[in-house]
Amino acid sequence: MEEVKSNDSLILYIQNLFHDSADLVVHEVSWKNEISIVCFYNTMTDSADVNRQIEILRQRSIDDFPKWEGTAASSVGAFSESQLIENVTHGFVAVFFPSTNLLMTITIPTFEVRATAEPDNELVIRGSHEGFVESIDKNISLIRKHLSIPDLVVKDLRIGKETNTKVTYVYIESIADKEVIDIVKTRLENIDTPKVYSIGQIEDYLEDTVWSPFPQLLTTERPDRVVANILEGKVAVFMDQSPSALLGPVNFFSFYQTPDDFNGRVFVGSFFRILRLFSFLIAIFLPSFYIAVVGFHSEILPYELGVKVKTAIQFIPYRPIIEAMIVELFIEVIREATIRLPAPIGPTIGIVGGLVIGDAIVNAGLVSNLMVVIVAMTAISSFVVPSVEMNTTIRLIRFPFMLAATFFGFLGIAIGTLILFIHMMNRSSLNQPYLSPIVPFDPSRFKEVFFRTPYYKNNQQQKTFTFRAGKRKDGEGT
Amino acid sequence: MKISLSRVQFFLLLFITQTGSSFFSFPSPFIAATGRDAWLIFIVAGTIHYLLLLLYEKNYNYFSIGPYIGWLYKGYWLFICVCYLAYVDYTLAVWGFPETPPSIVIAVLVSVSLYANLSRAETVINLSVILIPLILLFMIFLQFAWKEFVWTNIFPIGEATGKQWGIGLLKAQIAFIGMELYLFFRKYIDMTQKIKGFPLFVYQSVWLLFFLISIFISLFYYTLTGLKMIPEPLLYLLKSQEVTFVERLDLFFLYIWTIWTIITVTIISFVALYVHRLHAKENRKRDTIIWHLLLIVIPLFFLTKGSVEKLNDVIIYVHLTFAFIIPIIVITVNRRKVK
Repeated sequence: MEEVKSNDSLILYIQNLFHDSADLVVHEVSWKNEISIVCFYNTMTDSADVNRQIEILRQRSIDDFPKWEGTAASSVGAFSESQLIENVTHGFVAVFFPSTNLLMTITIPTFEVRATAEPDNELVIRGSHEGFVESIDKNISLIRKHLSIPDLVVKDLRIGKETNTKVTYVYIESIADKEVIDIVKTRLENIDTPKVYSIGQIEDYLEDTVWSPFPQLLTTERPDRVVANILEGKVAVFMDQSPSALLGPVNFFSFYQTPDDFNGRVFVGSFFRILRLFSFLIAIFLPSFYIAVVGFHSEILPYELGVKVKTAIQFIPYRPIIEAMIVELFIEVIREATIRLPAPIGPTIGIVGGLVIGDAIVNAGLVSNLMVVIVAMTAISSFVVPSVEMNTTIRLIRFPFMLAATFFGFLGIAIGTLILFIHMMNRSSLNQPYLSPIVPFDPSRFKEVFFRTPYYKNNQQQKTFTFRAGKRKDGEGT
Repeated sequence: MKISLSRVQFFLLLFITQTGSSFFSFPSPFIAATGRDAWLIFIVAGTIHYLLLLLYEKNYNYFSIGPYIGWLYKGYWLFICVCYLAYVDYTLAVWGFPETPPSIVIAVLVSVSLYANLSRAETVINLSVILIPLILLFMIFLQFAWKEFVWTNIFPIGEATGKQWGIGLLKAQIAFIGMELYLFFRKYIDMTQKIKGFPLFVYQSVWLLFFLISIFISLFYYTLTGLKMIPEPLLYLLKSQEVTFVERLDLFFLYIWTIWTIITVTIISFVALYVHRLHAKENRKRDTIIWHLLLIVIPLFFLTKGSVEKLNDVIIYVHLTFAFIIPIIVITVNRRKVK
């Protein structure tokens, strides 16, 4: 900046620094004894608010307030070009005093943020209907609204050299596991990519392995879900401009719990949780079971049912696996189309695809009506999971089971089940066992998996794959 | 390799290994050799089993083996795995895959053990958890046959000759196979958890009850002559059960038993590779792959009915060597060394 001689050339210099952007405001402001340069984006900050704040500060300066530049909305520090860029790009107002080489920051960004509506993909019947929005500050405020405690720690960092994206992780100091916090911090700090624009990218870097169909972090848009989880010692990661939070460490069974379990009655919550876990088995095994029965083990069917099955499939020109693939892929196409289409058209396509084309396929003799029933039941079962990520995973892993059933019948399903089980046992979430309490096997904790306990007892996550180390003690947590 | 086991994990591991492959095939030859008094003889055999467990519990600290004994045990476990795999492949060929080349079926079965043994130790240790609901289902469905039980089949009591008692106690050893794992895993149990006394008694009771149920059900359901002709009485019993929702219950349990056997082979492979690592230079991946290649190739030479029966006859004597004789020698020698 030494070469900058006059305020005019300084303004020009700042304009060049921001490539003469149309929404950039740079102008001189007179103070009691000096002249400063004010700089901000008028698309991110309201000009009227800026004038009001500057007027307040100028009055404090005139009144000779000690440290007049320090208010709730402003602070001052040494000038640097990088600090100037950071302030302006974040929607702050930068006020540069060339004579003293100080930079004052006025924090009054005004972004357009949508209302905190309930997330469409995580609906609950009872309980809070708030959802996160695309503003990290607003999201954190929603968490703080639930937890008015000083133990709630919020840590910020910026990642991505080109996007300079703000990422925040939140935890409760007295409950969260220090090792987990260190892992999250280290993994976030080690993100070495110029562009970060999606929470999915962060998830890839935070996960223990991306080479698994199973999500190792729970994604949610619900503040109440985040609060419940951080009260159990988990860490929540937010990214600016994303309404989703990542929660970890989690285990497989966390994906089958919803806030409704705890908002409803004990028996009701437990029943529906067991039902969801049962639906996991249906979603994975039903099509492969059908293929195995039709292709290998038709003798297991009772006579009456066997006759019906044989009648239904006798004129189908394809093997059961082809038949299943046709219907499964057809269902996936309908689902994908329904998501991509505008809301008013989506349900129509669902009805046309599901009923009209489905009926036509059966009448044309391409697939049997039994197969349509099986695939429809499978699809519905997979949608019961209260997590979109786990839902897609389940839909994906049923295909290898269908292939295994085609080649080896029940033996293929048995072998596939063992391989799936071993794969899940090997997984971890932020270095903690994914299949806890099965790994390490701890029958005393099984009730937490299948039942909604009568009161919200916050438990710490199982920390290691080895028995004893990291086993929670009653009374730990809150 | 650092392992830490809870009491429950340890007993589950031991139970699955001991019941693993032999459970379906055990009652038929045992009852054929002992007659109506099979259950009485098995209770006595169970007492021997308990005494042996107490002996193991008292002396497991002295059971420290060198490389030569280690190689003997590795050979023994290889033999056990080969016997189990040959038997399961033979049974699958009879019941489900007559046309499929045995090498493919065995390779598929062994691939599970390979995957588990290439994973972390805790994976193998906890793998048997998957069997808990399946075993419960199995026991429930077996009870469905109670209407057809002939309770008087076990009478008169006390007719077994001395020779039958001798052969019976020998044949009962099939149910003991795998108990030597107690000596290898006992030291890894969390020190704060008690094994001696009541917990060990509970394990012994569960093990005894499990095999006794299979003997009683076989005796109640079949005549002695009928049993001689049926190699897997429990499987046939399930086959003859009529339930409304399925015609052939036995097929489900055939594959549950297959899973059971695979997990047993996985656990035995794990302990064999663990003993190997105690004395040999570690190359975990290579050793695990070589071991599993042997598991695929060797059973292919023993797939006929005659070979399977011969292996089943021999296995008892090999087991006696490795569960009784060698441990007693090793413990005695080590105790003397300490003194």
